[in-house]
Amino acid sequence: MNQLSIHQAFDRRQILMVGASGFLGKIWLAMVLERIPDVGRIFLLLRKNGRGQVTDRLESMFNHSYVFKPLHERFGPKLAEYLATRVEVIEGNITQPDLGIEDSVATKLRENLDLVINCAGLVDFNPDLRDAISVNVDGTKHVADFTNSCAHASMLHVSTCYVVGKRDGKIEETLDYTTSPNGKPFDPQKEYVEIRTRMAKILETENDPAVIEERRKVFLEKHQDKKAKPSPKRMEKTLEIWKRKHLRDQMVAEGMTRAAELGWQNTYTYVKALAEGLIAHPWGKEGRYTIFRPAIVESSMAYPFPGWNEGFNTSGPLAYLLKTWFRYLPAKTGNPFDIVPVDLVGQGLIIAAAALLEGKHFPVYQCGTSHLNCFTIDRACELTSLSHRQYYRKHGKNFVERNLLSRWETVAAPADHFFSVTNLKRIMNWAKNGLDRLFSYIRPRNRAWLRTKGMVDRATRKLTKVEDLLKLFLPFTHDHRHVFQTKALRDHELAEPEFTFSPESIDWRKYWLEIHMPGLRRWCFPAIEGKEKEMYKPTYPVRWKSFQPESRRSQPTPYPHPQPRPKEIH
Amino acid sequence: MTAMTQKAALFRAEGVLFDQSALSFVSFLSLNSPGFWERIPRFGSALLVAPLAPLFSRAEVSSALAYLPLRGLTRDRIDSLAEEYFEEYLKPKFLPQAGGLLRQAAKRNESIVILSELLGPVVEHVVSHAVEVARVEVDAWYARDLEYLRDRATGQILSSPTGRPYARSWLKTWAADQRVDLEQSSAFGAYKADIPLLTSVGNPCAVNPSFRLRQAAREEDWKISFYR
Repeated sequence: MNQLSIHQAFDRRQILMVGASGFLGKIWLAMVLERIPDVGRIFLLLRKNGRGQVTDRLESMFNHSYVFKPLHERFGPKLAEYLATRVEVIEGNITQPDLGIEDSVATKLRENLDLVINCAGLVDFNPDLRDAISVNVDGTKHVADFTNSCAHASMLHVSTCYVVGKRDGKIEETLDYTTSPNGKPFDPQKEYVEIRTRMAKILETENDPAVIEERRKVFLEKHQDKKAKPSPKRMEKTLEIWKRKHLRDQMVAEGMTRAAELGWQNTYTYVKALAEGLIAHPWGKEGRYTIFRPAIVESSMAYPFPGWNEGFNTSGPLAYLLKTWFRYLPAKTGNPFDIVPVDLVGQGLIIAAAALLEGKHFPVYQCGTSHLNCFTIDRACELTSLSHRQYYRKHGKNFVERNLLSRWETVAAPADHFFSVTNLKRIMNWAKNGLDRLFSYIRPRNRAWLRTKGMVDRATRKLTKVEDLLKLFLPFTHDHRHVFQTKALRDHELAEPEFTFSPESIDWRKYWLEIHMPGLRRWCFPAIEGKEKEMYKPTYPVRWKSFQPESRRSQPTPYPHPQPRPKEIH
Repeated sequence: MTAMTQKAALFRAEGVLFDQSALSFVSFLSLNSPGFWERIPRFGSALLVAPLAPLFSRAEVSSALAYLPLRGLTRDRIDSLAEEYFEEYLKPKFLPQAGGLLRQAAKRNESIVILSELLGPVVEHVVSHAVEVARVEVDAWYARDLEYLRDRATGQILSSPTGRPYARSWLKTWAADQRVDLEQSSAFGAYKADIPLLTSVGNPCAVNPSFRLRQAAREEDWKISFYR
């Protein structure tokens, strides 16, 4: 067991956080600011949004996100004063070399930084490959290069447990970038060149004059019979839109194809694995970095309060689907569904960061629950259904919801179940073809036929959306059985037991029914339904001017700016 | 020999605290199984088994039959639906005068103990409600527990302290462990099956008694109370 003091590790340290505005980044930041006041300075790398200043983003983050509610409640009007001594915003962009940071600022950071945490990433399972490579791969490389140029900083890179790909069984905390998940030889450097080449080819095809001409012909044919001919300007605009859409579709498909070829579940896990491999090679011997791999990060257990969540996480869309008339979820009984509450992940990230700062770190930290407190997909399915049942019985809008939909439970079923979505689509198509033939014999096509056809078309479109969603989740609910070993986080004997990572403390029934599902209903389902996000409204909002060094009050502050710690090189 | 220092008031929940529900918890769970195609055979077997189970004199056999329809249901489902069953079927049948009995027992400084043949997850809600309504503290409660294997019910009951033939022997052991003087204690029952319980204490009371219990109460000159 190696002994570690969190407070000692963070004392007067200078930390650059990339991705602080994300789900995990925010909670780590809030936890550190509240529980580790001895931290020196946290620099937040933020990208400008449109025309606004980067400081507007910072204000918005602190004033609108519920994750900072405990800080607001604790410090009240003095929060700005406290933050001024601990937080500094840096304008930058990870997709650019040197993180897009202004030279003078970068020079100062290079001298003083102790730690760089890369929490930034695109978390879509099947994004445009250009975005995925730019943010998740190039971004990570830029962070690594920047850290490498620092005098004495280390790097903590947040990845995902699912870089393991389509492998099954016990997954140890190791780094192995020599083979892909399906056993093919794998060289991250060569793979990077290969994927770039493929992307360039797609771009070349889209810009081919023959392809452009073909599209133009299609456009003109479509408008041939119309009275008003479109103007050349409109035609060019439409062709540009078609090109962008087609290019995006190609890039999305290419990412998924390449991932499947090598044995990863989707583009996200493939690019995250590629990024890990690219930074590991130059750094491996020096030991100045560590990889942190969380599993499926979901609603908080306790911090900032039970059930806090944000955006579309993994279980949100599935839980939303289960509250409809959808019946058979393709899920293999007994397969772990490795959910881990975000505040536990935040704690794990604090431990890993402290270990790295003290030079006591392990190369990889996996942060999940399947090893120490396994939660299975069939259990998640049943608890979700039970939660919806309780909800509809109390809050159902009508008789159907209260008495029928509440009892219409989704069950875990094999992927090839007779009533699977794919089979239902086939049934719909047969029904449609059958009706078509029937109406052509009985009477000419009329309103009844059109109405029925419309209903069947709508149902088929919905089923297609559901089918696409389920395909993305199938590797996690059905196809693979992973148990992510979580030893490294537990191997540190912490001087402060309140930071201990203890997934065995989770009572899954209580967490799912009383914390997570209500959290999804409050934070995630409105986002899926396109409703306005619930914003926190603090009594004493933080204003940027309070952060400016020149406007700090001359009288002594209860939160003195900590002096930088002497340089230590591990 | 250690002196018995406490007095207890033992309440059989069924018939005393609430009017027995027409739909048993087993039937309720059967009707609310996860799969539609499961509901029919489970409920069907619950209906078949209900009249058969009491015919067996050995409690293990009758229990084994009575809970077979629950085989394979998860602990999550049983515990979660217990609350719904209580809210929908038992809470409306809670007898308000039972609160008075509980308060009187508390005033006499008797430890309040609730016994039930229902499953533990349901009795937990019964006890919480009794505490809320009567504003008393319940010192202990005993109910039936299902046997689980990997969090799924096997359809068997774990040996129950409140099972009918065992009531008297269990009660003596329990009283010795808790240092309860049964002679000074009271018990409240509603059915013939509660006779062993009522004969074990010094102050028995037949509450809303069934015909057989009323007969027995008259013969033994026990107190009889009606408030249903």
